[in-house]
Amino acid sequence: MPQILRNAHWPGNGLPHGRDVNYLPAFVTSFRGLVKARKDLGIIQMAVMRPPFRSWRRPPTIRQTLIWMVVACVLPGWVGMAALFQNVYAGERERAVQTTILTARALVTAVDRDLAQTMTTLEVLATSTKLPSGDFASFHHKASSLVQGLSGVNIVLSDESGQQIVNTLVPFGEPLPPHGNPENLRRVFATGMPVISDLFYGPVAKKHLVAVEVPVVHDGKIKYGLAMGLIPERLDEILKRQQLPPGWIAAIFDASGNIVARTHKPSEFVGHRGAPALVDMMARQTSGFVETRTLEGIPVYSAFSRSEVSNWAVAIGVPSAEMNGNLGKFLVLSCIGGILVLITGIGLAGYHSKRISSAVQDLVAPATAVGRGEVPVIPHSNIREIDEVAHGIDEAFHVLQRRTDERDSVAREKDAVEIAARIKSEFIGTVSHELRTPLTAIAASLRLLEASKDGARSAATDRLISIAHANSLRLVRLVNDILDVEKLDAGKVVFDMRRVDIRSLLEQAIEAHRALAENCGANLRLQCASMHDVRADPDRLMQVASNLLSNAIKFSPSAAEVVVTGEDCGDKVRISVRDHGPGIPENFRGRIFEKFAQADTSAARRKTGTGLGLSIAQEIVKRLGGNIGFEAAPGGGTVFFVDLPRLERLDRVDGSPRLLLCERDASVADTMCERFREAGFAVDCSQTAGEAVSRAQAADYAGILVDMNLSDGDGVSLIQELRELPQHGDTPIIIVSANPGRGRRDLRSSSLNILDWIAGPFDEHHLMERITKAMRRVAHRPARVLHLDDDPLTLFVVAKALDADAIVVSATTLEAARQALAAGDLDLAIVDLELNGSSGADLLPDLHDSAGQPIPAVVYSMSEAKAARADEVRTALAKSRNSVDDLIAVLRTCMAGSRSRRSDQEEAA
Amino acid sequence: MTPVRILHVDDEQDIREIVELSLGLDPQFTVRSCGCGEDALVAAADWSPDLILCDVMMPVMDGPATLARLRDNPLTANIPLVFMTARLQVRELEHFKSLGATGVIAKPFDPMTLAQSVRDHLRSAELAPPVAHLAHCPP
Repeated sequence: MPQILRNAHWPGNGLPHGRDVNYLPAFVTSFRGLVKARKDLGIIQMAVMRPPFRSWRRPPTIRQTLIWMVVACVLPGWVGMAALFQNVYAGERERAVQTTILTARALVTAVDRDLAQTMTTLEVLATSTKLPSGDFASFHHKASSLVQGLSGVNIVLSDESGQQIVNTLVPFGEPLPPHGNPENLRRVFATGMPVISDLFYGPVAKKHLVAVEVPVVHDGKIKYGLAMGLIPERLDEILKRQQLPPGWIAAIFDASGNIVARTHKPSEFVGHRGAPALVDMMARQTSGFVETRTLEGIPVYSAFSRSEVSNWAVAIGVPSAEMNGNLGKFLVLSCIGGILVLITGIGLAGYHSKRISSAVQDLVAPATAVGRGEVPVIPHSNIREIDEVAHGIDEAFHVLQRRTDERDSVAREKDAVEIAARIKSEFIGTVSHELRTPLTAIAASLRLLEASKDGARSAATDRLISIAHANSLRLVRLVNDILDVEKLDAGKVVFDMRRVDIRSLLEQAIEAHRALAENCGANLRLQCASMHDVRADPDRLMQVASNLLSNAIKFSPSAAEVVVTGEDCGDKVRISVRDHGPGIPENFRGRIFEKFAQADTSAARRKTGTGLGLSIAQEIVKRLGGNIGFEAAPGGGTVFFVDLPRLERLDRVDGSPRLLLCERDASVADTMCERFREAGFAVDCSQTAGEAVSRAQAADYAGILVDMNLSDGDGVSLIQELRELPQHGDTPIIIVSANPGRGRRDLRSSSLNILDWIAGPFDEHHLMERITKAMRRVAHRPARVLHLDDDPLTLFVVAKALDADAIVVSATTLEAARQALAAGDLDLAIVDLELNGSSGADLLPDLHDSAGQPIPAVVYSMSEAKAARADEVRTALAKSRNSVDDLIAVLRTCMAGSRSRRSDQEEAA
Repeated sequence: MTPVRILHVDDEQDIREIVELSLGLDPQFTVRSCGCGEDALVAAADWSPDLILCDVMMPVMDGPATLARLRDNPLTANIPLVFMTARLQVRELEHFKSLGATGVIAKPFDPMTLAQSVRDHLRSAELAPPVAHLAHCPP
């Protein structure tokens, strides 16, 4: 299967579409669909996860493989045969050459014998008694009769001067010419030995002759030379007797290399010299072999043998065509044989490959069927391995079937469970919603009834109405808690995780429970030492804190203290609530976070709770990534705690305060960044207003430096945007500008709470000094807040609320406020615009410290702040009893900002 | 003291009566009730209330749909609207405010302080008019 999948390439594996897909076998493309459809099956998933093949070559078919195998087998045979052929050819040639040389040797021996016979005859004739007596006539007669018996041409007797005395061709007594071959005669007289002449032209016989001449010796002296002339045709007989194959050319050469006799065209070539290469070789060796051409121009292999006696030689020329003809035939036969073997092999390979590949392809259908989850039809093949694969596919189908069945049943069960859970959760949700509407009516009616003063009602009736109302409220709480549990269980609650300031969250929680605490006679106290924020959903965390706080209050004995703590605990922040209640009974500790779990305490306590609060709290804390628990407090009571992952403060990097520099000119920015880093700041740099805003959104900064002349907007609008970001509502912003006048005017008109102003040109020493000062400006401890209001109650509420964090300077008149301003060192101003007989707005232009720097202000008014003024202040709030909480929350945000910078400053210092 | 006109929309007859009783505790309030969004559109255009209290979950036309229709009509576009709904999350509150609601009063409400809550919402509507309100102001 992996092999098949490798061929099936998925989109995105680098192959162009269309072309490659077209020639894919049908089963491969269908496999793509198969894999797509069944990719949830584990076995196929594994294959899909293979990395796609980038360079994809089609592998050879079985047929191609087998044909290559056949060729691989046959080719070495061919090479061996060629080597063998070469060997046989060389041997055959050698043997032919040797045989021919032997034949030549036999022929030359025959020639020698023939000449020796003639010589012997002449030597016998030389001893004739007729010669010493000078009876030449008788000698002529005797010689003539001898010549006729022999196959000689004539016999000639000559004296030393070369004059012929007897010539059998001429009747005795007639005049005779001189000796035809005087050189021969001279050698005979000189050596006294028989001499065989080369071929020469006989003057009497008028034809080419060869002469054998012997000396005639009398009394130890050579008197005459007796010669017999022989015609070369006589030697032809010797060649003919040998019966050489018809095409072979044999020739007899005299000692000078002239052709004496020849099997072919003797009349034409007798008397000519032989082929130069042959003659040259014959002169040097007694026997040998040379490849040459005959005088007719026929290419021949010539073998020759030379006689040691006469120096005559015989050469036999075997035509090259005849010599190679056999070899060529052998070669052709071999080639035909080899090709026949190859063709047969390829034919067989094709036949068998077809068998194998069709058997393999027969497996594709069952494999595809397995993929589709159908029952595969397993084919029978006559190849064992393929049968085994088929069996494997069958097996795989059954395994797959089993797994699919198991999974389906598990999935069905799971679906059933999920459906049941959904129905349940929907049911609970619907019921809760439906319960609420009548509950609203009931609770409201009872409340109205309870509040109506009707003298006709008895005290018992009033009591019953009160019980009914209290229980309707309890039912409302129960429905709300059930709905919370259901939402948490169903995962419907979306957690909006963000940075949360623990202190302000706990302060809000305490504020919200103050009324309850007063009713129960408990005192609330906050101890917040944590220097870190946490990451959480503030609403949900508040729900948890409220739950713990209300539990603690409910279980507190009268006049006891409930302490809420925020502290760092390793890499966590721990929120804990300590009460001085009766503690948790031993047998209840294990179930305390279970739903509807309530300890067996007095009925009065039990009535107020739903038994779901801690369960909900635990679930929320779990989802916030934290941990909830409790322990017995030393000295009685219980401590419930929540640990949450702590967040590092964002406005510093590795302990260095972090600055944002918005500067258009890159080179200026580089210089400034370098200086800031040297001075111990971490600096982020942006060249456009857009980038600056996105950076400021993503991080807290201890300070922001703004060039008033940015490419995509002026500095004023950038500062306005920055001020709208919650984390930079009061971050020190410092202007870096080459054109201070214009910027200052803009800024003055909108008073953006800019804490310092630096006029260009760039003076780094001056700049560093100002930054440090600006940072310190908010670093006073505790912060000083001016509060201008003509209502003593409001003044009191605010002063009390800010008691822990700030020194509040209260003023009821403009004059008092101006005096406080003159005293200096104010971090924040809270101003009521509507005073008795005057307007707090008149104070706004004066909200500058002695250095002329604007003081952040909060306006607090019955009427809407004027549009121009609204821009001038941090926030404008309506004055009403209910929104005092809102006001305090805003104040806390300001204070927390100042406080965090203050502590950073202290650390930095 | 000018009377303050409150239009209350809720499909539950009981809730309508209780709200009328509760708001009746404030002598300046004049209350008129409607049982569905369609009636509310007519009443709002006809009566020009100072504030509309509107249930969120109602059949046929729910609270947000009613609010949208009110904003479409120039006669009613500027009337502040406060939703009444069961125990909402902050996210929902933000969502309702983004629709143009002045605020939300949670159910079950305290009938003794309902009038005060409505007054608070009236005041904040005066201070911070809703987006739709600004959009319909002449330039």
